[in-house]
Amino acid sequence: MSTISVNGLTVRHRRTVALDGVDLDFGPGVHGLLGPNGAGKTSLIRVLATVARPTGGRVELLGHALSGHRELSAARRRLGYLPQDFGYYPGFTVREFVGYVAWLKAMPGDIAGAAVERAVARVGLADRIDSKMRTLSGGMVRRAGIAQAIVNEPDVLLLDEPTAGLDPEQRVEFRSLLVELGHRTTVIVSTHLVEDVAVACTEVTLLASGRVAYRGTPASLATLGESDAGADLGGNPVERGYTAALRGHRAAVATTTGARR
Amino acid sequence: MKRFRPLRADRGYDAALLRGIARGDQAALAAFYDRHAGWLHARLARRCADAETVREVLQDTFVTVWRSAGSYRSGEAGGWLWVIAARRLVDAQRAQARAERVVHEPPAAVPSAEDSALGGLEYGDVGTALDRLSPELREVLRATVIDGLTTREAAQLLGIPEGTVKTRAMRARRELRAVLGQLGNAATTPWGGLA
Amino acid sequence: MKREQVGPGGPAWHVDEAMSRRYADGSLPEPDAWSLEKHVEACGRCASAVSAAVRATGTAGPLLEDVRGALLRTVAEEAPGEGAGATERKRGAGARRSPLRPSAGRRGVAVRPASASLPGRLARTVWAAGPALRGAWGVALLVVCAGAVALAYGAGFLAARSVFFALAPVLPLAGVALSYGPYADPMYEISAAAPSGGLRLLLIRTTAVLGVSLPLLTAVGALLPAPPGVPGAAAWLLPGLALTVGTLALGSCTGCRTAGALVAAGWAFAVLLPAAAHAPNGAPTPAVLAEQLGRCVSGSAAQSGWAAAALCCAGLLALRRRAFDFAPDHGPGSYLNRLENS
Repeated sequence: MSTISVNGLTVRHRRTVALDGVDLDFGPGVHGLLGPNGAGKTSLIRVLATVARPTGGRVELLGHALSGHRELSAARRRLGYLPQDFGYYPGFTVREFVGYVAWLKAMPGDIAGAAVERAVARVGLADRIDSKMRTLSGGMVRRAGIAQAIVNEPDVLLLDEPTAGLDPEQRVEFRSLLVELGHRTTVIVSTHLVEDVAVACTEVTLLASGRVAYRGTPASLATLGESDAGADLGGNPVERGYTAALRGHRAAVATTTGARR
Repeated sequence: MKRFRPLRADRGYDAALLRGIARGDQAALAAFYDRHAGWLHARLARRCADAETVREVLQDTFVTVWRSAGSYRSGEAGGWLWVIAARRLVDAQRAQARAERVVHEPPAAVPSAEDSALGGLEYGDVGTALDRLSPELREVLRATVIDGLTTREAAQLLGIPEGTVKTRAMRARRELRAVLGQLGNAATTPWGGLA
Repeated sequence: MKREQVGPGGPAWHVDEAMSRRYADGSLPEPDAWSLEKHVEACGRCASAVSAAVRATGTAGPLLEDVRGALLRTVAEEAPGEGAGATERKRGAGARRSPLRPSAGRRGVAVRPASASLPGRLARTVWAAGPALRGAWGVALLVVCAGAVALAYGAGFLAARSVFFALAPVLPLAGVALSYGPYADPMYEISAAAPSGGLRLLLIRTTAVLGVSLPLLTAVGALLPAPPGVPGAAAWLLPGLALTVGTLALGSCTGCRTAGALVAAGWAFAVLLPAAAHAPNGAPTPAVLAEQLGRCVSGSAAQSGWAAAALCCAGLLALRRRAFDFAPDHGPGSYLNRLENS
């Protein structure tokens, strides 16, 4: 059962092609989105978050085709999104910041209060809930960002580089939260930390230059790393698998381009 | 660094969800279901061997929650939910008994107390005492004390006459008091006033 | 089971993982199960934990998911007259019903009532508009008002009024330009993924900006001395409104920041250029400025022209409303993507 399905998705920014006819589908669980810089991870997440309009292709979110305003609103209610670089009003407290997003998500007023406290407690900021955002450290701001993304208990949760700025211990805590969320929610996490994927994700999608280079599980990626393809590479098995998959994809692309010529 | 865990914020959350449900918020119903359907299912399954009945009662209960969340005032949301579910279960058992004219079979005896995790804790003495009761007496006690059913409802749930429920309840109290007396500290247990 | 020191009202223990698991698979002995059951009635946290344990079992997990689906379908199929609303009516608890209730629930899962009561809703909306009124724009508004009053009375600058009136229509649209969009609103990216973001948020913030600036500017205008030939205190209301709505309509194509700048520039050309042309040495005197302002806003012809312009722009905005559904391709998002693609 897939909650997100993407067909022939193309995203272009002026001359550059960020995504080139990508077909993907995701169901409940934690999906790691890996890839080198410029692979199109952020473009994919922004399209799935209904922030950016795709140049071409079809996106279906929770059964909504995102064609009309009504479908868009319905999907957005059930969506949580943490942008890679997100801003905030420095004068807002954590409670106001998360509460403002609850309002944006059209949550009913009296649920919102309790939901805000719950979301803030889940990211471990309960004792700072009435502190102003500008007084928080970078890691705390990021956790407040995660709280705003889960405040409406979304069915689809999109996190763009959520572990950036977290210290190692916070990352461990965050991954256990991810695992917990993944029981019912479709979580898509873009990250450049292979260890995030190895620990928290149930599935892995590897993007390279706007195409899907590899799909599998952390275990299958590790197996690839153990095989001949990854034998000469350094790092842990998943890292080797990542590099091997990328190399394999590039080789395949080079062959098809060569054949076309 | 605090842990990524729900803590005190849970307090009042169910009440807020129920207020949302009362106004027709389906997302609140879904959240309420996710928090409570699991234990409710397990609790019903311990009281009714027929999986199909349990399933129906579970669904009926949450449909009732949807329709009458407005009647929830305050207090224990779980307790409120159980009252609805217990009534539904009794109704279902009665309907079934009428249809089949078959007396509900009491569930098989539960494992003995050797592995009781309660030993030494607050309810330890009561736990030990309960374990010495026969399954039939325990069943009556459970229906009337834990599940909060009336004598009549308990009779319907268990498929025995009302008179039997009353005599068994009396016997259970008497035996329990005797065992607790033997154990010597009935007065300090939370259920000391039971008898 | 964990013993935990809690206040006198709270429970003395909580259900631990092992106990949840054994209750879920049915292997927990009866007396322990009773304790757990009574505890779970009162403790939402343990209720949720036990439920998760039951969901994790092979038999109950799929069944619970099934019933969840069936329940939500049943509930979604109920017409708006039934379900929760009907019960509320039966109870006669009209006070708890939101005035918006009739429209809620009609479209099934998608529609949820926005808030409990009208005052609560209003308060939350005002609060959500707050960011529009903070910061540079609010300061600028106060500076212009205080400056105009100080100039008029302190320095005896009688033409303060015409300068003030030349600026007043531009202030609200500056507020709009500074309160919405990828450049102006730090939380734009998050709001763009939310159902209340987009045009709805923009309109709420525009209303807030107008709600603050119109009464304030009108009051200050009325306080200033009125030389003959300068339009009355309320004359700029329609032009101010038309320019603001025009900014929104143009903003659907160019983004609010550019639109605000273009409209403000247009107003300056319309007022200052002719005034400068009429002035003997190229610098418009206050009297010439006042005269030109009078031509632009005074009289019923000018006023109905502004009213028509406001209506046209509002119509245009309604036609272009879908333009606010997605972030513009030239927002910070494309900046991110350029980073990503570099």
